[in-house]
Formats: sequence, structure tokens, C-alpha cells
Amino acid sequence: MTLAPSPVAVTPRSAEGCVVATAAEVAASVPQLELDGLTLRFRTRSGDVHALENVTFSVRRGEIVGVVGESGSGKSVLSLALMGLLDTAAHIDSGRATFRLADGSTRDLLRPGRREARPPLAMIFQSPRTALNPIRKVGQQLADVLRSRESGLGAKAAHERARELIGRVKITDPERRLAAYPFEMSGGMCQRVMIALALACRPELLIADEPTTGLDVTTQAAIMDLVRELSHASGMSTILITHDLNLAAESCDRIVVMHAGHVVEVGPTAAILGRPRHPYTAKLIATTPRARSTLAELQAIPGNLPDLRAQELPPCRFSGRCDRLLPACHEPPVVALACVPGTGGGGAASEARGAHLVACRNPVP
Amino acid sequence: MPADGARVVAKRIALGLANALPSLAGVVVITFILTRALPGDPAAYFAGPAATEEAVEQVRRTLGLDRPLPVQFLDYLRELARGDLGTSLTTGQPVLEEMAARLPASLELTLVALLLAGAIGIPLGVLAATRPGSLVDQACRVGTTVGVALPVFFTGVLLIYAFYFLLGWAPAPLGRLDPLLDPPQALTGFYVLDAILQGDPALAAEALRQLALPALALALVAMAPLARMTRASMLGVLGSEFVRTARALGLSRFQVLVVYAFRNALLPVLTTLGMTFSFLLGANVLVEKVFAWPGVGSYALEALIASDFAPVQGFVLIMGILYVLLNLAIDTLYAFVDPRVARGA
Amino acid sequence: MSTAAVPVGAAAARSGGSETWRHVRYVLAENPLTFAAFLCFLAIVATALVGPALVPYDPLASDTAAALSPPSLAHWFGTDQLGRDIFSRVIVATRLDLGIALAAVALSFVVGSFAGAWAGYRGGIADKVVGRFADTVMAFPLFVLAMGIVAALGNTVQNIVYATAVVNLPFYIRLARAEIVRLREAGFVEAAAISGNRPLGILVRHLYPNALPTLVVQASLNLGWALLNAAGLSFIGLGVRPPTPEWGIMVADGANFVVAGKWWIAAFPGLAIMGTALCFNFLGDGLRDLLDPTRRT
Repeated sequence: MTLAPSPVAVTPRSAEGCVVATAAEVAASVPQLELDGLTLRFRTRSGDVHALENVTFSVRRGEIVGVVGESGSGKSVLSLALMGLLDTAAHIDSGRATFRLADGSTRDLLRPGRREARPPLAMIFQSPRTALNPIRKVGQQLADVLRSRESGLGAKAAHERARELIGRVKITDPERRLAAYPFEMSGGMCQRVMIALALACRPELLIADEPTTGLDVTTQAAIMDLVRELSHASGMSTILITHDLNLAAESCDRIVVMHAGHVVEVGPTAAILGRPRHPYTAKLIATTPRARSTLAELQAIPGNLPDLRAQELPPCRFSGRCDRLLPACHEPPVVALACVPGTGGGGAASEARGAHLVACRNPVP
Repeated sequence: MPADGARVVAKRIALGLANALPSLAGVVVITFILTRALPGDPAAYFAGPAATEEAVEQVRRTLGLDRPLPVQFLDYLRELARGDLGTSLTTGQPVLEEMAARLPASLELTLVALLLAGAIGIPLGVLAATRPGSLVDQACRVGTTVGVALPVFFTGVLLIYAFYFLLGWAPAPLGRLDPLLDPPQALTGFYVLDAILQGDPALAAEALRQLALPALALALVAMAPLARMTRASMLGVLGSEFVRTARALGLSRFQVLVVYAFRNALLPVLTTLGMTFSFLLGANVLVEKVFAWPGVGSYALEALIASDFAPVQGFVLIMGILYVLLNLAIDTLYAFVDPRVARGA
Repeated sequence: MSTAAVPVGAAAARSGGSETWRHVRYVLAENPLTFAAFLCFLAIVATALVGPALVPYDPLASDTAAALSPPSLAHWFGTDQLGRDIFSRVIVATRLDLGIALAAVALSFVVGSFAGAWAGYRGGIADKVVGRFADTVMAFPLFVLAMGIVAALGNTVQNIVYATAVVNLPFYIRLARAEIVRLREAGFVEAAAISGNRPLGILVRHLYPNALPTLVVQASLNLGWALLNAAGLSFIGLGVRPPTPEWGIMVADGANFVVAGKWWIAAFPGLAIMGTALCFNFLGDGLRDLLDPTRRT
């Protein structure tokens, strides 16, 4: 691990207005995952869909980062890009996703080398029942993953390890569950199985894409408790993708707000929810129903997401729906993330350490 | 297999049988209706075109055609139970005996054609699905579209022209074996198998050479729906969520493709196999005519042209029963392959 | 996102027709194959209608001197064993083959879809009987059953049509039944019943028209198969008798001569069958794209 010679030269995107950090502070908080300027588009018959533009944020070891936004904001595309599961129609125009493993080596997740082993990432998906092979026993599916990671693993040993994993995700009566098929299990149990499958990959980073959507509230809470517990037990970091702000509020250390393929705000949960700076974040929080809201109190964000197939997308993709519009908002270049004054640090390390950044020319005061 | 699994499968077979029985009943009823209840004088049919008035009356009395219809039906059932399918006018032999003697020829042809169609069609479909937009994919799509529009008798004729007349690779379409050779000892009725069992590989090769073109004619048409269904099913499965999960979990390409994707994609292909077999049983008649193949199809055909009705009726009945039993087999197989079916998800 | 106002009321009704036309043009443009198939279909129908009047030779006239001659300028498709011009025969046969296929499918469609719709709507005994009938027909290999029916009814062209129609019935019965069962739960059916319509009225005026698109697609996809079926039956000598020109028996005639290398007698009628079936299939696919709402822009 190399130390940066001086804090100012740490990263080309030193944000304005941020308090500069010392070299020591920088070294201590080198992030596990650093996403830098990821720009991605899909080539389709009806044009290029500019799914992600200049996506930049980081994840520290052991923390839970929430990525929130409405449908179509690019959250899932981002996760697929990190896992290397993108369609052949996807083209990464620019950007890096630097992943630092526990042994100190680094990888660019977006450009996997063919001879390298798979990076220690795992992902769990929405609707766990359809995400599991319907005609294969749960135990067999676990054994498949275990044996693909360890070529010499025998059937019996794999079964033992599978049973242990099932136990770790708090499923009772493990032998019976191992011999069951996904359709014989409830949604919550299937999600636990999914988590067990992810754990079999010994991940250092877990990406959870809407893991609790479609589950009832009690099960939701139980699953999130499990994820948090596993995180703390093994130092595994988590990226939690969700459209549910309440869920993010409960479980995440920091939140990344996305809108139409852009990161619009990043910061500690308390800061984002307590004092949002981006008009979109503010609206998102305002529209989240609370326990005592009446129908009349419910708010909505006017307008729709811009059509990402358009040739000329505006530098700020929220400008069509924003009520704090300034003439400057229509001018290029694409608005970059900048530190909210007085929230600490400089550059990448500062963001990882908990600085509050916003990409807006007229942030909410 | 654990006791629970065996019980599940047994239940499945019982259920299948319960479903098959009404179909079998329907088959029997329809074949009865075809002969007795349709317009025209059935006695005249069975007596033959050259019969005199008295002969027709005689036939009417012998076959009990002057009795009321429900009684006739019961007689029919009783005859069936005895295995009496009537007697052929042209040969004078019992229909059941003649059909039993000729069935192996048809079955050998059908099974080889089905094997060929599956061996080419299914992998082709898989290849086309895993390489969308490639040459293989385009070829598969064009091929299946054309294949479905191919008249099977025309394919046979074209193959004879190409491989017998032009290239000289195939033998003359004179039936199962060159007329100068003796057929092998009848153990299974399948010439190729019998010749091998007899220790005569040269004869087996000869029988195979004669089989090649008719089987190919059938297979070319049968492989189209198989390839098409395999491709569609595979494409659907490859885009499914659980395949994405399998990839995300780092399973090898082979595991994902074969164990996860293909096995799931196979389910609708099984159903298509059943329909393909039904098609083959019918198309058999056409191919047997083109290649002078001495099977049940050509037997029924010769009888049909000669207005000899009993063999035709027997043929329709037996084909119907065969198909019902085949569907039963496929249903049972399905229960083995798809646990959701077996355990009533 | 476009913010153009959506036309309402009368304006929408007027543009409804032009929107359909726009959609048709879109599908045809997207899918040149469908357009080509449509043109082919028109060409085939035209051949069937006016072909016989325009052929160079009398399809029945034999010229033994010119028997078994390969394709040439005088005889574009060659001549058969009786010296008849194959080109003329193939053209003239179009009317018969097309007629048989269309008649069989039309009959099957009308009887099958009504029976299926009725069974689906009424349920109970009607459903069981009709369903059992369809299942029983499907229990046979269909070509075999068609053979049996023609054998029983008698060896005429009419009976080929009936036989082909009967073996096709189950497809329409099942599809119509499934569509009606799906649609009868819809609110507009309940509304019609409450406002005093009799069951038959509801079926005819409300349910059936909504099921029509799917049924029509099935019919167009079925045409090719019906043609192959009918040609197969005549190939084995049922229905059509010589010297009537018909593609199936022409292939049967030609099959005898192919071993001697005289390929043209069987080839051209065979290609006619194949080409027509292909055209029907492409047309059916195109119709499905046209009528399937999930493909609309």
C-alpha cells in the first residue's frame, strides 16, 4: 500500500471547500472499494441508453452503504457492473472500480483479468424464490457453490459445510431444509438460503439488491438483522440497494443517493436524512410516508425520469423536475460531487471517512 | 431412491393411468364410430367392392351388423378383449397377427428417426441459444422455419434423388434389406439389432444403409420443432433470474449451462418430444410409401386402396393406443425431472 | 419524456383508425419478411383465381411425344409421363390445394371456436363433453385419424376437407375455451349480464369478438399445416383422382420417376407445397406480431 506524498495531490478530484486531511488520516481510511467516474451505456436498437454517468463513491471495510433512488436510477445496473454480470450490450465508456482485498492486492472490478481468481464479492437478489434453481435441492445448490470454489471438495464434506452455512443464517432443522426445494420454502427462508449461498463465496463485500422487497415487515427486519450481524462478525462490508429510505435509515452507515444514472448526494445517514442538500434527496425524504401521514399529506415528485436514450442529456438530469432551478444548471459540464462546506476532509478519503458531498449548483441550504 | 420418492412416483403413475383410461376409452369409441356409425353401408365395406348382394348380406349377418348399435359396440369390445381385430380381405389373415409382424419395421424406423432428430435438433437449439445472433443461430432459425413447412413425403423424394441417383451413396429404396439378402433371425424384429445379436455386422451395416434415407427424411422434418422449442426454452432459461444467480455465485460455465440452464430448459422439450412422436407415427405412412418400407403404415395403406377396411381400423386403433401409452410414459418421466410436478407445488 | 397531450373523446375515436393503420405500417416496416409473405400470399391467391385462364397448356392435354422431357423453354417445368405440361398443372392445382386448405381451416375455425367458446362460457356438462371430445381427437396421431376418417366417409375431395377440419378442431376448441375462460371474469361481462343480456347474446356480442384476434392468429398459423395434411392425404391416394391436377398426387406420380433421375415431375409441385406453406407460416407469424399487444410501440 503506497502512501500519498501530500494530501492535496491524493486525487485529481479534490473537491472545493473541503478541509484538507493529513497524510495519516488518509492512510487509515483507505477504502475497500473506490468507484471513480463510472460511465456506462447500453447499445440498443432504438439508440444508446446512458445508464450511468460519472458514478463516484467508496465503501470502507466493514461498513454498510445504502444506494437509494427510484426505479430506473441505475442502482441495479451499478451492482451488475461491479459483479461483472452485465449484458453484452453494455459498454463501459470510462471509470474504475478499485477493490482492495484483505491481502492488500487491488483489482479493477470493471476489467477482470482472465487468469485472476474471482474477486471476493457476492450478491443477493430480490425475489429469492425465483433467484434459486427451482428443480435443484437447496443442499445441492450450496454444494455446487462450495465445490466450484474448492475443486477437491468431496460430496460429504460439501454437505457438512452446507449444513454449517445453513446454520449460520439461522435456519432451523438444517437437514430437512437441505433436502428441500425452493418452492417448498417461504420467501424469508429462501432469502436466508440466498445469503448462505453468498457466504459460501467467502465475500469481503456483499451487494444486496433489494433483498427485502416482497417480504413482510417482520421477515424484513429479521433478514436485515442477519445481514448486519454477519457484517460485524466477519468484517464484511455491504452495499444495500433499496428504494426504501426507511430501510436505509435503519441499517446503513452511509447513503448514496442516485437519480437517473447520476450520484447526486453521498454522506453519513444522519446527515443525509437530517439535512439533505440535494433537492432530489429532500423530495425523496418528503415523499416517504410516515406512520401518521394522512392521504392529503402524501407528496409526490413531479415529472418523470428523463429518457436516457436521448442524444443530448442535460448536465443535471434532475433539472426537468427541480424547483430550485438556476440558469447555471443547464450549462455543461456535468455537475460533479463537491463537499458540503465544513463537513471534513478532502477528496476520496474524506468521502469515505464520512464527508457529505452533493452534486448540485444550487443545493438546499 | 428414498421411500418417499418412490411413493411419489408411484402416485404419479397411478394418476397418469387414471388420465389415460378415458383417452383409451375415447380411442376405442372413435374407432368403433368410424366403422359402424358413419354414412355408407359398413357391410359393403367389409365385404369388399367385388361382393355380390348375397355376399354383402352374409357379411352383414356374420359381423353382426344387422344388430342394434349398442349391441354391436359390446361385441366390438368383446372382440378387442380377445385380441380379434378382424380379418383382412386381401390376405385372409387376422389383422392383429399381420400388424404384429409388421410393427417392428415401423418402430425401428420411428425410433431411429426420433433419435436422429433429437441428437441433431436439441444440441442445435442449445448452440443457437448460447450464441444469439451468430451464424449457428441464424441457420437454426431459418432451418426450423423451413423444416416446419417441409412435406415429409417430398423430403423423402428429394433425398432419393440426391443420395441415390446423383451421389450413389444410398441403396435403392426397396425396403428394409436388399432383396437378395436374407433377414436376420427375428429376436426383436429390429433388423440392425438382430443382425448384431446374430453376430453378423455386415448384415447390420446393410440394414442400416437401407434405414438411412427414410430415417433421415423423417428426422429432417421432426427436428425442426425440437430445435425450435429447445432454442426458445433455452433462451428463456438463460435470461432467467436463477441463472443470473448461478453466474453471480461463480459457478463454472459448464455448470451454469448444463446443470442449471439445460436441465430446466429440457422440460418443455419433453412435451415437444411427445408431439414429435405423434407426428412421426402419422408421417410413417408417407415415408413407408416412398421407400417401400414393409411396416404397419404401408399395410394399412394397401388395405385402404383396396377398400379392405378391417386393417385400416386396426391400424387407427393401435396407433391411438400407442400414442396414449407414450404420453403416459412422458408424463411419468416429467415427474422424475420436475420435482414441482411430483410434489404438487 | 414527451409531454404531448393525449387526445381524448371524439378526436381519439377519429385517430383510432389511423393509429391502427400506423401500427400496421410499423409492423410491416419492421418486418420486411412479413411484408414479403403478404405479397406472396396475394400472388398465390391471384394464381388460384386467374391462373387457370392464363396457363400456356391445357393441364389435361397429353402429348406422348414430349413425355418425360426436362424443363425447357417450351415447357418451363418439364413434362410428366403422359406429356402433360407440369407448369400448367402446378398453376391450375393452386386453386384446388388452396381451396382445400382454406375450406378445412374455415370449417375447423367456425365449428371449433364456437364449440370451445360455448364450453368455456357455460362450463359444467357442456365443458366436459366438448373437452373430452377434443382430448380424444388429440389422443390419435392426427394424420392417422384423418386417414381413418377419409377411409370411413369415402374417398372424395369433400371428405379430405372434412377429415382435415376434424383433426384441426381441438386446437380451436382449446384456444377458444381458454380465451373465453380468461375473459369471462372481466367486468364488462358482468355488466352485460346485469343489464339483461342472455348468455348467448353475451357470448356472441361481447366475449367472442374479444377472443377473435388470438383465434385468427391460430388460424393463420394453422393454414400451412392444413395444406401439408391435405397434400399428404392425396399423396397416399385419397380424395383426388387422376387426372385432376393437385400438388400431392403430382408428387406421388413424380416419386416413381425420381429413381430414374427425372426430378422435375415431383420437384415443382413439392416446391409449390413448401413455398405456400412457408408463406402461410410467415404470414401467421406476422399476424401474431401485429395483433400481440406486447409488441406495440
